[in-house]
Amino acid sequence: MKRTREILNELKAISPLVAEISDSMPFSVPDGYFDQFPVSMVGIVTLDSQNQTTDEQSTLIPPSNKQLPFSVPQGYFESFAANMIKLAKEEDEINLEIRRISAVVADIPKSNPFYLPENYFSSLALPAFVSEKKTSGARIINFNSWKKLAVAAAFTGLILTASIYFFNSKPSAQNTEDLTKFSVEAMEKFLTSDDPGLPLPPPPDTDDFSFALIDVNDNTISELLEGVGDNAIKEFMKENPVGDNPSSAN
Amino acid sequence: MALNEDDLSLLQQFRVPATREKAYTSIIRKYQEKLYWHVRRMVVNHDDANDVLQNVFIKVWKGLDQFREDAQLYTWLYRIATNESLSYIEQQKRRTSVSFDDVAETLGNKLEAEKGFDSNKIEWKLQAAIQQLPEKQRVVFNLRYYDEMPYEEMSQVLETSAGALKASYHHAVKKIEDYILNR
Repeated sequence: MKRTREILNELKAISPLVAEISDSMPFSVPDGYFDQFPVSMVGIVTLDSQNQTTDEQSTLIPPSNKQLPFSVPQGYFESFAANMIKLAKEEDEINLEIRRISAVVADIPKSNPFYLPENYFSSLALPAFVSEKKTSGARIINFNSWKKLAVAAAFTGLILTASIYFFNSKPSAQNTEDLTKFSVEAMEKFLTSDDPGLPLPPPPDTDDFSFALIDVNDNTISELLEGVGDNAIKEFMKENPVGDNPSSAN
Repeated sequence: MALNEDDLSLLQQFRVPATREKAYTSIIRKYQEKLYWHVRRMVVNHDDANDVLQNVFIKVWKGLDQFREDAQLYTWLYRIATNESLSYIEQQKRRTSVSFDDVAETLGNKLEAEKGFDSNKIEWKLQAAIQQLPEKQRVVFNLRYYDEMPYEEMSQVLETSAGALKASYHHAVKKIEDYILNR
């Protein structure tokens, strides 16, 4: 741009140095900016007008109704001024108090000198166990295949069998109750009775129960001693003489 | 100052719904480059300039019906562009809670990030010097130095007296000279 004589003369009068500087602009503008700008501006204002028309025509928002839906606690504005004065007085009292104690401390600005990294609070990450609110539930097994079903059935069967065995091995409450009804005398009488129904052995003739009561004849003895030498029998008889045995008397 | 014939014709077309978009497109085509560079010199970065320029033309679309014909269209457009640029810078300042010096530094950093930046070249040095100026002085300098806007028209844009604008421009040039000599 060429300066007019008036502007140049004025500038020379104030500062010949500045008047010598070229007034060309060193800034650059994106290519085609001024060609596109009018088109984009028409787009912007047309959209803006359409939005305004839509707002005006909206049946949901009556244009005249600017009443806010918010509510204010009763008496808020009436007591606001008084509350503010009260707060200011409280703060004054705190300041006066510290000034009475120490003027030096009172003059120190309350600004925080500690360094805090930029965006610390916005980027504050909670610990993983807090942020991950996943509960560690039991693993869910997919029973789609017949093999898994078979394993499950076998496991259930095992538990059932074990349960049945466990409950049957215990004396039933009924049996225990029946036994408590018998007295000791009744039990003794029952045990010594001659009831043929009982599979009890006949009462022994002697007090010695160390020998079994076997019906023994000569043939049986021969059979029993078959293969046993005479010397061995003699030796046995020597060690166990017949007269010493009280049972031999019978 | 009466509206020039071309702008008057565009304004009449804009008021007719059938030709509204066509007139709007013509207005953009006519003024987009001037307004773009005015904004770009303020915010430095192209993307920021694009955002601001879009806001400017949205306001134009919404407010052109109420535009009074006793003023020049381009001074009205420059006023919107200047206010939007300053608001944008103010928003950025609030967003990052920075002081005036920090804003200058931020704009300086943006400048250094520009494609083809060379601190040894006088054009870039001039741009760096402009970014050191207070916002109002920067606007005045840019409007006078680059857009060669007469003080009377500038006073309509900035709603400041022509005398105050002349003084502001004088201070701005002196500061720029000082920056170039001492850096």
